[in-house]
Amino acid sequence: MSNGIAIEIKELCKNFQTKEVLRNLDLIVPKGKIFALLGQNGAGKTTMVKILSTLLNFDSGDVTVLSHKLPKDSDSVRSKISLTGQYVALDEDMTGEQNLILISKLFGYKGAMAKQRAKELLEQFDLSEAGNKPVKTYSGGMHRRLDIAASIIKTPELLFLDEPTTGLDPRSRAVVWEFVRNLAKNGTTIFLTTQYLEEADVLADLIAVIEGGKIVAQGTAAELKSLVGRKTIKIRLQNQSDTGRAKNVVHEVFAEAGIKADETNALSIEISEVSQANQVLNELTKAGIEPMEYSISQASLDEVFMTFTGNGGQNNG
Amino acid sequence: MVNVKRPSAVSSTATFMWRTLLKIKTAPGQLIFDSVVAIVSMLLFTFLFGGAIDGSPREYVQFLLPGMLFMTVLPMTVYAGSALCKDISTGVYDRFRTIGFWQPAPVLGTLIADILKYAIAVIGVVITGLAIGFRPEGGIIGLVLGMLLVVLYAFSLSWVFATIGVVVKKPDSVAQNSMLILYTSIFASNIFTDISTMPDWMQTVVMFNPTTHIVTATRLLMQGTYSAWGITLAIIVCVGLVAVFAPLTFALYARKNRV
Ligand SMILES: Nc1ncnc2c1ncn2[C@@H]1O[C@H](COP(=O)(O)OP(=O)(O)OP(=O)(O)O)[C@@H](O)[C@H]1O
Ligand SMILES: [Mg+2]
Repeated sequence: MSNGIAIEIKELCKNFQTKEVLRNLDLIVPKGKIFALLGQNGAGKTTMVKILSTLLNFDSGDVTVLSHKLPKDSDSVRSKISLTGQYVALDEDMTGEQNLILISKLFGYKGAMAKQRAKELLEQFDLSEAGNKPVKTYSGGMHRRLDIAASIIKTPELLFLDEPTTGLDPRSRAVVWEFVRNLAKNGTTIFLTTQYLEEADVLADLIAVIEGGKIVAQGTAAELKSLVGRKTIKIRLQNQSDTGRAKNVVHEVFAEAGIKADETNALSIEISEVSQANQVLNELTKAGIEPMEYSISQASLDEVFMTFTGNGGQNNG
Repeated sequence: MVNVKRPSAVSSTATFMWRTLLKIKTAPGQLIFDSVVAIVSMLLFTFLFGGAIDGSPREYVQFLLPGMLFMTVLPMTVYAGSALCKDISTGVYDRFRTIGFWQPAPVLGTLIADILKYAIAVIGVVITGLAIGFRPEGGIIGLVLGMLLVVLYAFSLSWVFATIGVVVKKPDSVAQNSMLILYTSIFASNIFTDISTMPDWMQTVVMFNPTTHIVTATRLLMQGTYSAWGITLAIIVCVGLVAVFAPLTFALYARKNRV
């Protein structure tokens, strides 16, 4: 299985005492891609990350990470992966630099090399100034950045990031995104979970949604959006008085199309093909109604998330 | 990128020793506090009870000092357990586990480095003792061997608390859970008085406490009247503690949070 597969999961089951978290979950993550796992709170994202990063046992199923079977080959997996957990894992009593030196040494960097590696990373993550202060004096965002820095001391083949940008301001988030993209460009597979759908949208090559212990949807952002379906054309009219007439015209062409008019006299019309937008515009012009401006938009990832998760959001814990 | 190799068991352990020593250096407060408390209590005990128990403070300190070393060092052995528990509860432990170094290293390195703390406290108490008239008849050799035995026992006992540290959930509860064992090991012993002064049933209890045998051996070493058997017994007790609790700690540590 040295083909392009980083993670292969078959019929994975995991229970905590009586609580069933993963039931017969199947998933394949290709190598070199940025993969994002979405799901509600308590859906089992962290549980999956912990199983894949060798921290947690599972009840049944086949789990292969970078061609090594878990749990048998945990040691081989560990030498190739790295993890930034959902909760910051740093020694609060040590300084930022000392934390990085510690982890560097554990990866096998010796004396001066460990120190140099720590310095490089502090710089890369904009922490040089704080490097000599104890971590307990850091802000939430600084904690996060240092935590991520610690997990890429040695470039892993596969990096797990469990909600890496939770609590980061937009600028720090951009720093993290940039660095994730660079890692992926250099061949590292990224497995990330996130609560920010925008993050999955702009960053991930591949997205999966976990719900009820299974993957319920999977694909690129665009594929998922088109699964949920409908595009929307938004038209602003020259004259507000035309609104009612315009609705009738559209109804004649697309009997079943959903139309909404809002208070700024813009019409939103659901369509399934982009070509239908032209049709709508033509018919309106023919009827003597002048569109002032229009735009076509896809379903957002938020809508995708809402569609696939939730049973109406009743599934927490 | 530099090509780095997985560190050996020895260098991983050395890394954790470095970490523990670094913490002692940056936050020596606890160690200083413990040493000062020990020195002050020795002065108090010597001059408060000395007259009543042994005729004069000077005579009493000859008996008290070896016991006082245990009184000082044994409570310090609980910290290693707290340190391990803290790593586990903060998730630092999870990071350690995804890095493929020799996994007993965090436990072993931390416990070995703590030996330095025991040594510093022991030296502090001995110097104070010498200043107020402690004159070991065993000479410098007996004194040093006795001190080594105290430190060895502290290291051995710290494995018991390491086990507790890996089992309990919160660092704060490590001290609580260790209290009963700690106080029994200190007070149900011959640290403060000679066994022959105790009622029979108490003597039996005290003889079951490993601390008793180490205290006896230490006292005899410092008095220069040790027997080979006493020393052997003391060392057997130490080795026994490590032989039981070190593998137990490693095993529990490796399995922690895996279900
Ligand atoms: N050690 C544990 N013991 C018992 N139950 C657990 C344990 N860890 C997680 N769970 C339960 O398993 C479920 C999945 O938890 P998990 O942390 O994987 O969710 P998540 O998708 O990461 O959620 P979030 O978005 O809130 O981080 C939850 O219902 C949680 O209560
Ligand atoms: Mg989570």
